Formats: sequence, C-alpha cells, structure tokens
Amino acid sequence: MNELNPWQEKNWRRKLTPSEEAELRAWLAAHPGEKVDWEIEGRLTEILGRLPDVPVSSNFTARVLQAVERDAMAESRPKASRRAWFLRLLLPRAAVATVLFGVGLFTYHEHVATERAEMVQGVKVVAGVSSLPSPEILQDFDTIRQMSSTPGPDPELIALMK
Amino acid sequence: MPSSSDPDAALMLRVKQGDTAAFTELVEKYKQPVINLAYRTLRDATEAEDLAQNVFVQVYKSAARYQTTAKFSTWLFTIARNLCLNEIRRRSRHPAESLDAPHPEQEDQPLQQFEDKKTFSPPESLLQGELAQNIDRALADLPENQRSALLLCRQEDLSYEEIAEVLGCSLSATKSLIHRGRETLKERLKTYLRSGEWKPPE
Repeated sequence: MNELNPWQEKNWRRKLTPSEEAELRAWLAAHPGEKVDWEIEGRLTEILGRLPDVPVSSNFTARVLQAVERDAMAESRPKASRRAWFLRLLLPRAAVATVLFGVGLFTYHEHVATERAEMVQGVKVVAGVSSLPSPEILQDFDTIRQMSSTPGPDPELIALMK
Repeated sequence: MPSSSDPDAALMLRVKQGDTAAFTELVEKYKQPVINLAYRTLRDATEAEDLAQNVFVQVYKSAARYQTTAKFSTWLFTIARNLCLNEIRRRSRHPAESLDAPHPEQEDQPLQQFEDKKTFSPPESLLQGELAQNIDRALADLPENQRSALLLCRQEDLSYEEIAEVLGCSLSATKSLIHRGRETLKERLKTYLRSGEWKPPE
C-alpha cells in the first residue's frame, strides 16, 4: 500500500469529489514521481468500469419463474407420490399379509382344538377303566417276562423222550 | 435495520409471503450483475446463466429464512459466490470437457442457436475485441477471491464492509485482495495502461 492509497480506495468505487481531486492534485504536485502511477490507476479503474455486461437471454426471468414453479411442484409431488406408492404397492401387500396372517391364525386354532379333542378322548378312555389291578399280581412279573425270552422247546429232545 | 432503508429487503418480505411480482422485480434488477459475476468466474455464458438461474431459485426457496437484518444484495451475492465456488470445485473434481463442446459425430450439425440472446450494440463493442478479451483473460487468471473482490467492487451498492461479508473475510483483508488483484492486472495490462491504447503483445 502506498501514500496514494486513501484516494485509490475511494477511486476504486466512485469518482473523487472536487475537494478530494483538489487534495490529490496538490499531493501529486508535491510528489511528481507518483503521477504516472495515478494515471495507470485511473486507466485500470476506467477499463474495469467499462467491462461489458454479459448478454442475458431475453427469457431469463421467465425461465427463473418456470424453474421456481417446477421446483415448488417437485416439492409437493413427494406427498402425492407417497400416497400413490402406498395405494399402489403397500396396500395390496398389506392385504395379502393380512390374509396370510388370518389363515395362519385359523390353522393354529384348528390345530389346538384338534389336540384338545384328542386329549379329551384319551381322558375319556382312561376314565372308562373302572380300576387298575392290584400291584400284588405283578410280584412274579420279572420271572414271567424272562420266560418269554427263553429258547423254545427242543423237538429232538421231545422225540427221544417219546 | 436494512428493511426500512433497503427497498430490496422490503421486496423480499413480499416474496416471503409468496408475491411473485416482487420476486420478478428482484430478478430483473439483479440478473445482470449476477450473470456478470458468474460469467467472469466460469468463463461460459450458458453455464453462467444456468448458475444465475439457480441463484434466484435458491433465493426464492430460502425466502422464508431471509432475515431483514441482512442487506439483500449482500445475501444474494453470497449465494452467487457460493454456487460459483461449488461449480469450480465440481469442475476440478470432474475436469471433463464442456457439455457444449461439439462431439465428433455432431461436427457437421449446426451449433445450438440462442435466438433470444441480445447482441452488442456498436457503442458497447468499443471495449470488445482483443482488449476486452485480454481483460477477461487477466481477470480469469486471478485467484478466485481477488477476482470476486474486484468484481464486487464494481457493484456500486455494495460497501467495502458488505463485500467483506460476501467474501467472508475482514475489511482490511478485502481491501488487500482488491489491491493485489489490481496490481496483477496492472502488470498483465501494462502495455495498454501505460499508453492508453491497446497494442497487442509482439
């Protein structure tokens, strides 16, 4: 930054006021070596100020408004599409799931009912038996059971004995 | 409070309430400076318009969040600069050829025409040609923050403090950016600046 800075900063944004210009002229008269720098500054400010505007499409504003409208519609669409998605996809699947669940529940109930009926039948049979034999009749149970596992009669021996 | 002194803030309050006419007024007022900033950052007229369009769409979408304590133009140029920076980052990640570049199989087809584009009138074209191209090139070669500072400095309704706010740096840093940018431009354009006439470099 140099001593021209106070005027430069103002000149970057706007034209100097007559009093500022008078101050600058006085300063430049005292510092003639800075005159060229100030002229270069001035030319740069001028060409930057004269930079041509970029051509803008005549329908630019209309396109912006259209984009805003499109954007607003796109934002409202998710709600509608969520509803449509629910009706189109989720609802039939939910119905099928409900039916399957109902069928499953019915089958389970049937199975439980059948088991109960069988159990009742068994209890009925057991209840039909008047009394169980006395445990004393089972005192020779082991001997009698072993008899069935002994080998059968020897036909040769029987024939000799005859 | 800017809302009382800033007519644009008053328009934004109307936009907040869904007033499309107020929004149209803001677009009409600021489309040129926003497109200028975008073009001199991206160096592509079509992309600059697309980006400017996004800037205004963002403004409309963010209207509800707009605080009248902020000056509208400061807020607008902050959005514009942020979108420009995003585009620069996107380009550096995907340095693919421009979408407008002609493809080999399309070379025999005419380029896309924009009927609605304005053409330069003769007085405006005085700074056209080689000098204008050189200024644009010199500006394009500046670091982004120096270029943005210089371009925002041309925007008369932005104070140095507001430019600093857009750039997200201090007032002294902003002035330093402008100064350094100008020094670089002086060096690049010294042939013209010393003589006052453009002489192409030999």
